[in-house]
Amino acid sequence: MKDQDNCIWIGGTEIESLHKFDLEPSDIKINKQFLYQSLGYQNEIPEPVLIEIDKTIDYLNALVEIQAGFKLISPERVKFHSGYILIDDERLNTKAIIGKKLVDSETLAIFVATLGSRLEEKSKKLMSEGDLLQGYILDAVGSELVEQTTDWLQLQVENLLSENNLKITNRYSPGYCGWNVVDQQIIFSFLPKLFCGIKLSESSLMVPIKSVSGVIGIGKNVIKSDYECSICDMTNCSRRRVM
Amino acid sequence: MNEILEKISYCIERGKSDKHAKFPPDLKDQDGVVEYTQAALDNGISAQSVLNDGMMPGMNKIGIRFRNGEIYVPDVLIAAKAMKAGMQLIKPFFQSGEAKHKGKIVLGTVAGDLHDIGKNLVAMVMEGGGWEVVDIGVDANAQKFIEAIENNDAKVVGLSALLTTTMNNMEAITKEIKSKFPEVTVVIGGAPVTEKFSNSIGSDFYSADPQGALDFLNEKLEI
Repeated sequence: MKDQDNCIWIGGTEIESLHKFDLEPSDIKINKQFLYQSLGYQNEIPEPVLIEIDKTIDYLNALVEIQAGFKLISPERVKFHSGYILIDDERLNTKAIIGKKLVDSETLAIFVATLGSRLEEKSKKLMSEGDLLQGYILDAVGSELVEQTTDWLQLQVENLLSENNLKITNRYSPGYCGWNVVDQQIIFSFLPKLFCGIKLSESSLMVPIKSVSGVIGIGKNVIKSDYECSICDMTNCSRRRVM
Repeated sequence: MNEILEKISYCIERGKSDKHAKFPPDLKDQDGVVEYTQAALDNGISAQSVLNDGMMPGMNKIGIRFRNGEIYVPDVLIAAKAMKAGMQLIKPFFQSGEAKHKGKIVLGTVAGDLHDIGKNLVAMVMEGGGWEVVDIGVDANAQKFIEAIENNDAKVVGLSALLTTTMNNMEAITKEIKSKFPEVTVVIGGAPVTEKFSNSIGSDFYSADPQGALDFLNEKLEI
């Protein structure tokens, strides 16, 4: 993996910096338990599903181009409120659930991660050709891989900041907990154009689809929980973790 | 029900496509949907009856179990694949007019949205329920839906969306469809969609699951 670090020192003490990583699939371990859960299974998993998952993981290398990165925003640019965040004059309407989790932060990391577009193209092709299960499993493995990539990225943020005795919150993304997806337009406006190869559609959909974006709060007194799905009211979300 | 048709239904429910399929293990080396469909046709059972009395009951059971949370999407896909294998044998009877679908349904993911897994799942359940699906893909605007309705003489349209932002595009598309084809039934679905939203935009029905949409259409169109 490579970290293409581009640091800007502000006032000699604060860091506003951009970090980008190119990863190999072998850098990220897929959590099969989470994958089974995302497919709906708690206990017994049909043999064809298990076989297809293993087959899919084996040929992932040819289908993904993993890129991830984050930008640390200088604290003087960010103001936290219970239902929204101001970065410069731009307002992120996180709404109350996420706002409360971030309100003790001093600044933010804005992050993105993507698998590129080959995986989703292959999944669509498989499904259109009648290979329904293969196409679906590939899509689900892709969703899990990009989620695990984001876990990895969050750890990089955490490790970097722990050197400065700073802590991080959990990560939060538009589209969850009442935070409107439209705010992705603001999030991406703070990143370089086509950062990690991701662009936004007019409807604020990330392209490639297998991409994740969001924010992580940073501060001396913030808390990261092991499990955050319980705060979200999207009880039918396929990404909901059952702990 | 005829024993062969019962076998077709059972094999679809179990996801046993043909004799060579290793799954499910307890049916290894036994005939599957393909063999029983061929046997039904060889025994003079009409293709229409194979579809209506053999395949559809099997997929219907799958749809109900999925709605009840007893099985999951991969299980539906395994069953759908088994049914598709049998459908290949009765396809020529649809082309000759000897067998008929219940009707045509145009399905698409609305403009701005590129997600298609949910739509594909609905398509499979609809096909399993005897409907002919005209899939117009993703990012479909009102014009694309209208053209598909015109070109296929469809009586039903299904709109899908995964995002709250694209969900809002359902309103304009529904209104355009209804202004041009008031008689066409519009059904909507997708993760952020609710019955309240469906009512507010003037669509005819919202379903949280594919089977619900199928049941509604069968009842509404008295099939």
